[in-house]
Amino acid sequence: MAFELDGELVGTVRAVPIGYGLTLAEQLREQAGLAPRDTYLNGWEMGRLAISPDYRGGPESLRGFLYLSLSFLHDNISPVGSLHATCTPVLARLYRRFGFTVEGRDVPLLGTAKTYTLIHGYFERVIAELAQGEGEETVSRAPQAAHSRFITTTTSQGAFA
Amino acid sequence: MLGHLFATPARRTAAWVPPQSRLALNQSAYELHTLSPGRRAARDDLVLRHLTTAEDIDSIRFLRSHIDLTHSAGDPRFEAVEKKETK
Repeated sequence: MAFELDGELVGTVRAVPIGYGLTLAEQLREQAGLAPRDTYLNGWEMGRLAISPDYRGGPESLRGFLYLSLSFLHDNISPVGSLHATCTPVLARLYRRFGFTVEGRDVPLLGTAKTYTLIHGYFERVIAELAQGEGEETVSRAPQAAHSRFITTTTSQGAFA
Repeated sequence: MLGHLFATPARRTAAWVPPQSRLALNQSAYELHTLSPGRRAARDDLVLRHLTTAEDIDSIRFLRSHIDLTHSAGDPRFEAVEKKETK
C-alpha cells in the first residue's frame, strides 16, 4: 500500500501474515533457530517500508508512518498479535524506541553475504509506544536535506526488507 | 476514492486502549473498508491507500531502489508473489 499526503504518493509499506511461510522473517528465524513461541499468533511481517526522501524527517516522521500503518492493521484485522521485521542493526536500535525487541543479530541470508537483524514487537506495546510521540507535526516535507539524513541513510539500506 | 483511503486516527495521548469493536477481515488482509467521509487525520493529512493505477505505480517506482530485495534475487516466485500490484 502507499502513503498519500496532500495528493502526493510519498511512500510504501507492506504487511504479510506470518504463519504461511511467505515472509523473510520466518525464513531467517528458522535458520537462526528462533522458536516462534507466541509471536506467530496473529503475527504480521511489516516490510517494504520506503519513504520518499522529501519526507524523511527523522524518527518522528517515521513514527507517523508506522502509526498509520499499524492503525490500519488494527482497524481492519482482528486481532493483531505480533509484528515482525528484518532490518539493519542501525534501524534495530531505532525500532527499539518504538517497542520492538531484537531477537536475532547478524542472521545470514543463505547464499548471500547479507545479514539481517530480526526484530519483533507485540502489537499492543508497539502501538502504545508510537502513540507516545512528542512531536505535534509528525509527517511533513523535510525542510532541508540535512534533516532527512537519518532516514535517508537507513532506508537506503532497506528500512524493512 | 474514499473507499481506498485510510487516515491516521487521532493520536492517542494516553495508553493504547483497543476499541470494543473491530472490523473482521475475511480473506484478504489487504481488503480495505470504506471510510466515512471526513475521516481524515486531524493532525497529519496522511492517508494509506492501495495503488490503483499505472500512474500511481509509476510515481513511486523509484522507491524500489531504496528497498533491499537481496533475499528475493533468484526467487522464481518473486514475480507471482511480490509483484501483484503490477498485474
